[in-house]
Amino acid sequence: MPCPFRAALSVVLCLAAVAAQDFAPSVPAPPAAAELALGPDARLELAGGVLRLHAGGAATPVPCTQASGPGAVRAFARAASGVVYVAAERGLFVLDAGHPVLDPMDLRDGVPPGAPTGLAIDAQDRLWLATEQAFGVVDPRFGFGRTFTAADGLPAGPFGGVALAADGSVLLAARDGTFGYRPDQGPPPQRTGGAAAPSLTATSDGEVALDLRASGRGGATLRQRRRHDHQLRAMDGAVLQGLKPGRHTVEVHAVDRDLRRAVVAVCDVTVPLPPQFRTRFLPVVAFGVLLLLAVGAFGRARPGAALWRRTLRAAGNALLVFVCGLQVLAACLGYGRSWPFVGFSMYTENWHEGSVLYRPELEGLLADGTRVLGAGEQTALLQDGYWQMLAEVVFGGPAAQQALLERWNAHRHAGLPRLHGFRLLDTRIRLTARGPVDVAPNVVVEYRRP
Amino acid sequence: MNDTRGFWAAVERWFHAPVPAVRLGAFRALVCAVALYDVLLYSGLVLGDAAAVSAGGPLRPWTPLYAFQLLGLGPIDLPTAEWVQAGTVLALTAGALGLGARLSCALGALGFLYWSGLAYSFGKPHHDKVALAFAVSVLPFAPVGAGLSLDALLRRWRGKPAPAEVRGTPIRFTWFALAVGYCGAGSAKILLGGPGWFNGYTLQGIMLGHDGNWSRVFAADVHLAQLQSIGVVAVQVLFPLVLFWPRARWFFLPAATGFHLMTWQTMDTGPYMRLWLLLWAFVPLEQVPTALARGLRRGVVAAVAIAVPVVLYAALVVHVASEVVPGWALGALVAALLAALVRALRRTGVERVAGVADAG
Repeated sequence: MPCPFRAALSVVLCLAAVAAQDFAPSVPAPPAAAELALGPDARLELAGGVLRLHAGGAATPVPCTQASGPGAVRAFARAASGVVYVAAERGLFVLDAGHPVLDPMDLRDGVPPGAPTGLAIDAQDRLWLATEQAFGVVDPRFGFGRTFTAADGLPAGPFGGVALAADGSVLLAARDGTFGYRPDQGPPPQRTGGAAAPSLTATSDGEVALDLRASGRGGATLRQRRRHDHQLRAMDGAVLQGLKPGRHTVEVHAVDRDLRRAVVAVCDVTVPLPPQFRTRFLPVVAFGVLLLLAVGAFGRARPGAALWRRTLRAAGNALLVFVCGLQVLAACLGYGRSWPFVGFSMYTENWHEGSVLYRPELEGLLADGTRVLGAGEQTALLQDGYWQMLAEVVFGGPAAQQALLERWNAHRHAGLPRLHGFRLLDTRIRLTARGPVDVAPNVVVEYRRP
Repeated sequence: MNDTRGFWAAVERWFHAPVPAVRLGAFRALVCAVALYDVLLYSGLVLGDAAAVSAGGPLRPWTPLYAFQLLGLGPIDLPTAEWVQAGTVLALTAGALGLGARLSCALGALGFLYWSGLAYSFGKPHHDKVALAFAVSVLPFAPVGAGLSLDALLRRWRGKPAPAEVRGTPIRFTWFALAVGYCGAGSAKILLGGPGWFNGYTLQGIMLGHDGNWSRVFAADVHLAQLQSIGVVAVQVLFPLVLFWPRARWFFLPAATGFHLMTWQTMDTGPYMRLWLLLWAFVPLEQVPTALARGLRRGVVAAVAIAVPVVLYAALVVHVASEVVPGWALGALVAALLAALVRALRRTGVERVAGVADAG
């Protein structure tokens, strides 16, 4: 009879051996460059933990939107989009040629915790990041990441710099030397099981569990995206969450350890209104209230008048009071879909010192690489909510991006040369005590005609 | 004997207070004209969506308004939309002119609500024409064609007597809707935003998040933004004072108009003309030409002080409206208003001469 302990141990050892292959000892990376070009006439220099901007013959420390500054700067790297990512004692920062000011990067879940010690950007614009005790990868477009663990074969920390080898490996300086990690090995994430259920009904809280299994290198995690939304939100297992009443088309993306993504399910989800707002229920209550009001008004109407006149007058007054009451009620509830009975909860969100303001912007690219500001009316995409249509450009892949480019070219202003590509930016303004500061935008899409 | 106390008596007194028939007629013309402007303004959007429906997509997300859900209304194709547009424009034009006033206002209101509902079901609802929606909907419930209308002209031509005063329900109801709108917007900022709403950063965030022409200037300093926050909410929350204290209108009506013009430039909200034109509901419209004429006859300084803002205001309205309203229609409107002013000038001139003679 086989010993269960021995069997379990052999499985663990086998897994460890497989995982250990992911991080192979490597030769140390050459020292990182201490300078990089920021633009035609500007460059950044890192010396003694201070980042300096050389422009116009002068060298000045790069300012920071944080009053406390970035702390000692440890590494920096520039993405193909032109955004420079900076690892510093107080976190990750970004800047670019148009916004040479250090500003904290937007980060969400899964990012390696701790003060960053090294970083590198690969050809897919993924940010490989080491902190003293953690290593992982971040997708700067969406802000989420994945932190590697011992189960991934991660060597022991503390960790130092991160660099890219010529073969695409990520080189990580660890306690026991430098290790190379080859991302994107094996098949991309995929669905491996569960019953297909394209139409689902959620609870009125906007939650619904999916029967869905997915695999991916290092284990797949799931993220949800409501169509017309540009965020990929983390899921708790296979449970869709946070959906508002109405009908939604929701994509479920499986993401592997290297942040490769694949859509593994698309479902139409109906989220019912809370019981008190059900369409069958509310009109009945409303009619009841109206009837009561009418009876009350009839009792107080002029006794001498003809019956039909009294009835009409009472009904009119009851309707008047009912509509006025509904207006006040709607104003208190703050719900917009019952227009023209609407609340006034718009513009009630608070901003504070340090808050960031976002606004999508389209930037056209000419054949020579010159950038031209986009106009909403030329693309007819910058409408209510901005991302409603733009989100599909982000997730629709090259076909949707090509379609946008063609649409823009077809409606471009007279005198504007034909565009060869575009960039979709999420522009950012940081509110500081010294005033609002325009900081490096998040480059969500950069598309060039093949 | 009528019971003059109690809730329903108060409703009768306040909402149905009599007004000159001409005032209600002028109000009807104003509301229908503003609704007409709105229908034309939204035509690009609604017809664009309808064209996408006819072409088989891609569509903006269809999230129907609650009323559309109740009635089971869905998106419409281009030919249907063109019919709806034509019918609504026709009805509102007839309503503005006062031809078959109550019926045309009723049809115009239905068309206006449906047209707006289509746009909002494809996008998100806005609150800039809430008061207009209520104003146009309530018009058929009062004798809106009794004065300043083709109906009144026809009645006079037939020798029928015209009432001097009528129920002013639509005007009072619009007052209420406007007051709820402003007070609700201000109260929500206090109740939902709390003290943090007045920290200056919030208003900076609102202005810069929408990036209007003047956003950068007015949002440059957090202390300036704090002051503006207090001013904005004070005007909104205290706006209902205009219901009970007519003198307060001299402050709140220009302040609210100025507020909308500022949001236009600092928040890129658009002109919000539908709302600030409706503020004329608080003004005895039939007295405006005479009041203007009297002011213009008070000497050069007074005339300039009155004429400059009036001309600027009129120019602004024409400029904004010209985006969608044909030039000939605007020309006709301006000519009609000028004719009313000239007539009032002549009348006040006669009164003045008569006054001198009497004094002598």
